[in-house]
Amino acid sequence: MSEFEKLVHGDETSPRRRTGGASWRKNVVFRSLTMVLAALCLSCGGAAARPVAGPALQIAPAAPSPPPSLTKADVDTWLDGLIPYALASGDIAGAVVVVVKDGQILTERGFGYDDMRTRRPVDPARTLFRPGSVAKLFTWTAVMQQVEAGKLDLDRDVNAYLDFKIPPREGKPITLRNLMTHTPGFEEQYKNTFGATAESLGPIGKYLAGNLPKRIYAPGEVPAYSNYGATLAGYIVQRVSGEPFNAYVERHIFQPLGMARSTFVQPLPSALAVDMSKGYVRASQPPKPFEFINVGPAGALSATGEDMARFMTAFLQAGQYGGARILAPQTVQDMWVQQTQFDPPIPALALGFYHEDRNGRRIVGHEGDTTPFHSDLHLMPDDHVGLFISLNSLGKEGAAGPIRQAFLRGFLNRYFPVPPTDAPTAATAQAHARLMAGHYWFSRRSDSNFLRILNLLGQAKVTANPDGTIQVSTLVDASRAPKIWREVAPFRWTDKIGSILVAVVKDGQVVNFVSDDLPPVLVFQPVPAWADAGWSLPLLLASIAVLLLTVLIWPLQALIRRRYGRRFDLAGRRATLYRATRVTAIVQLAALGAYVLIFALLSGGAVSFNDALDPVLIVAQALCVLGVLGVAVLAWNAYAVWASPGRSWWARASSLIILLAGVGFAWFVVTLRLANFSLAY
Amino acid sequence: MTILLRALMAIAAALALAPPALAQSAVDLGPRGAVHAAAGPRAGAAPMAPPTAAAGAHPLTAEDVSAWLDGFMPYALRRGNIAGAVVVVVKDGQLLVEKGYGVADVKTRALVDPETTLFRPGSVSKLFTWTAVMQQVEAGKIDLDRDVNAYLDFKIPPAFGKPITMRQLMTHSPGFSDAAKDLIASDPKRVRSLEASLKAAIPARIFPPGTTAAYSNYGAALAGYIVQRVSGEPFAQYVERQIFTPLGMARSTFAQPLPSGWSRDMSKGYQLASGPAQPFEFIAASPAGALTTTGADMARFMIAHLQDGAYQGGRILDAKTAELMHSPQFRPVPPLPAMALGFYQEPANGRRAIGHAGDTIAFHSDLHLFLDDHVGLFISMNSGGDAGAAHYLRGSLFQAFTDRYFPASELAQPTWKDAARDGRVLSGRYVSNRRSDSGWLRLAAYLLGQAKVTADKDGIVTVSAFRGPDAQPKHWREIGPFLYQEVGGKNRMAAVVRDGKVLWLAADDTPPVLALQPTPAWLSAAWNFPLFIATLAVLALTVVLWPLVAVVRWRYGKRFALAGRQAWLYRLTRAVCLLDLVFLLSWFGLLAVGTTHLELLSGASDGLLRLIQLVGLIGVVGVVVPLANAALILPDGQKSWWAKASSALIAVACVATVWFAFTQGLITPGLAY
Repeated sequence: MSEFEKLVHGDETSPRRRTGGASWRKNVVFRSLTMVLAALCLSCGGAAARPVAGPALQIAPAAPSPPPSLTKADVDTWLDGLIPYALASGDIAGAVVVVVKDGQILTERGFGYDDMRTRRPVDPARTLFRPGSVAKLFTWTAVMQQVEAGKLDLDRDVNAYLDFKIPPREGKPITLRNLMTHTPGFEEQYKNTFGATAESLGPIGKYLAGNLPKRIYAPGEVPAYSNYGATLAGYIVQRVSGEPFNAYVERHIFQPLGMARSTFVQPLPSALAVDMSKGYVRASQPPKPFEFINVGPAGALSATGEDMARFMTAFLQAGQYGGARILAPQTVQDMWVQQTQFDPPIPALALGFYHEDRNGRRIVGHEGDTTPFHSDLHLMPDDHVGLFISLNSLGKEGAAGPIRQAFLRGFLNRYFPVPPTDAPTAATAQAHARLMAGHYWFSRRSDSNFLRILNLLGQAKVTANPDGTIQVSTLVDASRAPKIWREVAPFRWTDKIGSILVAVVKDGQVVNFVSDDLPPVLVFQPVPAWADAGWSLPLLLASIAVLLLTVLIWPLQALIRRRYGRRFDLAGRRATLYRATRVTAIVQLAALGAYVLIFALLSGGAVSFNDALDPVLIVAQALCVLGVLGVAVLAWNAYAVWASPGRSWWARASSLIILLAGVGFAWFVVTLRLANFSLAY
Repeated sequence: MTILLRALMAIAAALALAPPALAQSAVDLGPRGAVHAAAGPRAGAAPMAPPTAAAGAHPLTAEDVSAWLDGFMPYALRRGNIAGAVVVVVKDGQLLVEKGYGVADVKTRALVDPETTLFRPGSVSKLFTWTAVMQQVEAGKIDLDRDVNAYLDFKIPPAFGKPITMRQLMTHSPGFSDAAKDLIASDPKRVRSLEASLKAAIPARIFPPGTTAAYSNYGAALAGYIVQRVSGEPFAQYVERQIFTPLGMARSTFAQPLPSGWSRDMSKGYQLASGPAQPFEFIAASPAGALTTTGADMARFMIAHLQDGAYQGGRILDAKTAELMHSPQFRPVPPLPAMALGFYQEPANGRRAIGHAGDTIAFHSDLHLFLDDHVGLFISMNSGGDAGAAHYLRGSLFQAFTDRYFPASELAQPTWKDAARDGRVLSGRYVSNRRSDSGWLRLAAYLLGQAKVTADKDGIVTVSAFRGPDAQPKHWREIGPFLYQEVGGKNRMAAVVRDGKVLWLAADDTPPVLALQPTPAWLSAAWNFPLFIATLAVLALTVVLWPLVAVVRWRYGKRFALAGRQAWLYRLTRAVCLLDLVFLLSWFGLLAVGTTHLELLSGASDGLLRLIQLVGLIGVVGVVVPLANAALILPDGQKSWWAKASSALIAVACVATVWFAFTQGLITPGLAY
């Protein structure tokens, strides 16, 4: 996957798009009951209308089986059913799954291959995966160790710990608590997140000082996932501890827990490199090279499934593992206390951990996505159960997403089932569906640069269905069909597998909405009218079509004139304006084409979001400036055509339409920041 | 193009009252690569369990198989956009596990109940027909090797100098062309009786009897009709009395529509679970696929066959008869699995296994019997799912089940010495032996559905029609003379080659009733398909430019430069192009719409077909006009190169239309397809 696809499908951090279905709830009790009933009274009662059944078959075992219990045998068998077909049908090379319970590894499993060429099987104890943003949990752990040591204060201005300055916004400084809850208010920062080579990785302090993102929200108000923020926290640990971040984690977390096959170091030490799983976009395609992550504390970890079991067990045991202690019990409890409580009452962020509470259970965890690797870690503190899964391929149509969801929800429904609730549809459904309809974007987005293009193309469309249900174009089930959401309480919707969607409405206006299908680090916000894709996308397409036609018809008309022996009937300034108009259209198309090229290069993997892209970006911005200046030419031309008598209606109409297309072009250059005289993004 | 492909895939499903014909479900559209529907009912699984995961056999207990299915099914259904499924496993004469997954009705959220929810197992119905035939063989009323005309009140016309026998019907080797017309209807008023439908359209015979196993619904329906004739009982009633009742299959019937009161337990059928429910499918050739039953009832049927006909003190077949029925009879592509009497032999890690798959448009089912292990597995799904998901799911389920409970160690076999040479021999275009040969559906088989076989320099062969569960074409490595093993998997592929010429190519992840046959060069899609696209492009451009040029002339105040005969030829040429374009596109329209509106693939649309053919006939006869036009323009020194080139291209496109009209069966005396 290229960087462009990362934008669309999710990148290293990636709560942008993580939708997909899960296994559905089976009513075990109901089914067993039916069987018993069938065996007892084959032709009586409710079955009266049915034909008489034949001799009953014995079912072995005769008694209805009890709900499955979380044993090694059962979970192994269940995983044998789920994972291999999920990988095979999803074109995913391999996976590691670890389940810990009561301080022990209940099962650790490798599925598929860590290298498709050599067909080396995944080994949970040997094979290294890249858990992506799950790495942040190590950074947050390190932060809390420093809090315990009295060197950090969660609520102090982070500038106190830095050697460069982050200016306040709306008079408020950023705190570590803001960073841990993804509410510092940074815009999305893409450039140089990944390095092209090991050599391109600089010291994190240098990266942070040189790539400070714009602040688009006041601190503490809107959750908008930030890799920059996590990296900043890692850098602060480095500064207050006096140890380089990678060495710090090694000494204070990996070594005490015996995580001998885990590291943040890039490239990998050669002893570990031989056991690093290859990473794939699709298992049937060649592997991707090892990723060099500039924002190391946000996602550079490499680890085995078995090592992750140790980390999970330490947290489930209140910070202690095998005689070593990485955190005080109270600190662990503190880290799981819900910090952000946005208006929508759904599980939200604790200190770095996400609350993923489901089936009436307290669950905390974190997901992680690099280009090929897709991982999930879940802890059930009250049940002393931990789950870790990592897949080494994105898979066909992003199969890694639905598989992770099916794993967690299937596991919960199997071992911690809850009776299905069938709440009636709220009376407000129709009215609220109409209120919700419209376009939305994520709180986590780029704002100051050309990646606003994605804000236009990636808008989620909420549709009110005739029956009062709603659907969100980007919230889809495992088969990629949009989920149907039914309102069960005012502004609270549920889908058929019990996911929740909640909206905050003030004064009859939707403020935002969230769904527990997505991590609580971003919210859907209504798109302001000026940016609404409902009208601006058609305008963009129409403008492009007009410009294209203008450019194509120019030589065609010349050919036809020649064919019929006609001369060009304009002369002097009128001819010059005619030609200048067409040249302007070419420049404007070229400017848009340059951005198409940028995304094509990114999606082809030819360039990454780093300095290598700068030359193309400079050309694109220059063309945009020229194109906007050209609007004056279009206006002059239109004026001249309308002012001179004897011009055909066709000439008048087309001069006006071309002018409108040009104005449309200028609108997009300005609103999408296509010429912002900056190479930061 | 997408619509075309989708149409084709759905047509393939419509044709498939059993295994989808290989080539008809496989579309090859040039450089962007192949786009395919399901490759086959047991489109094999990639290696499901790597060595670390599946060391040694797991005990086949209710507990283990329950947990395993609970892992497998829910995600597989959801991912595949399939609404619901029933799975039953029997062992040692007992029901081991019966499970319902998902819903029988998306709207009401009614759960699938293995005891009560009714499914349509499609061609798995044929096993009941074959069982009935064997009962009549036991009774001495049917001889497996006698000319079937002896039992009929109409005559199967002679062909190839050989009569058709019951044994050939049971092994799908009578050599009939496939037939899609009137196969499935949604309007009960349009459903003819078994007798009437058999007499109305006897399919063409395209292979000598006994040469290849080309799947035939007609053949199975004919066998059911013979049972009806020799027993003197209507077929549905016969099966009810002689099979359902003795086995206690009280919730099974061949009756259509369903007996009153049954409908509320009937699962809805879907193409996609996220789409609308399909109407109940009426199958005129009822012995070939009209069964309605529950998972629990199918368990009884499996147990009876696993016990060689014995069931709870009674018998539906003598042991010897059952053994005969289960034994290999005809092996179309050695050493791949053979046809037993109606059952397919199946590859099962060296175990003796037989089975049968079944597909209606909505329902997709599979039945497997491990004969020596006394284990049976049945699955039925009520939706086709995304891109043939149901096929991949059931194929993978069978293979994973086999690998879990009956594992076999794999021997690494060296690559055969002639691999590179043999790869070149196999390379080319193929059509399925199950195809509609006489009517317009040749389009689906020959123009859109050809399989492409390629080989790399090492002799690794790729067949576009044979795909894994991720819908990627599998790769095959030669391990013996024209015997191949799937790269990274266990499936096998083999070819029958005589005198350096490939006769048949087949894989064991599709049933033995399907084989690929090389396409003669003149029908190869390698050049026919690009020619077809170019023809459409030239015709469309000509038709579109005609008025456009007139407008431009008007704009520049020019008069039409041609006069007299030239002007008329110009106009008539364009009119012929218009007719040709309408003619060619109509078939694709029919293909596209026919998939969602089954009634179109029936006698009801004969009038429409004749109308399209009439348009085509005028276009075909009219080919003289563009030819004359070109003949006039080409030698004329006054004409521009543009006029010359376009007249020549148009003439070629119109001639090509004639070529397609006849090679693709678009203009036919009869209306069978």
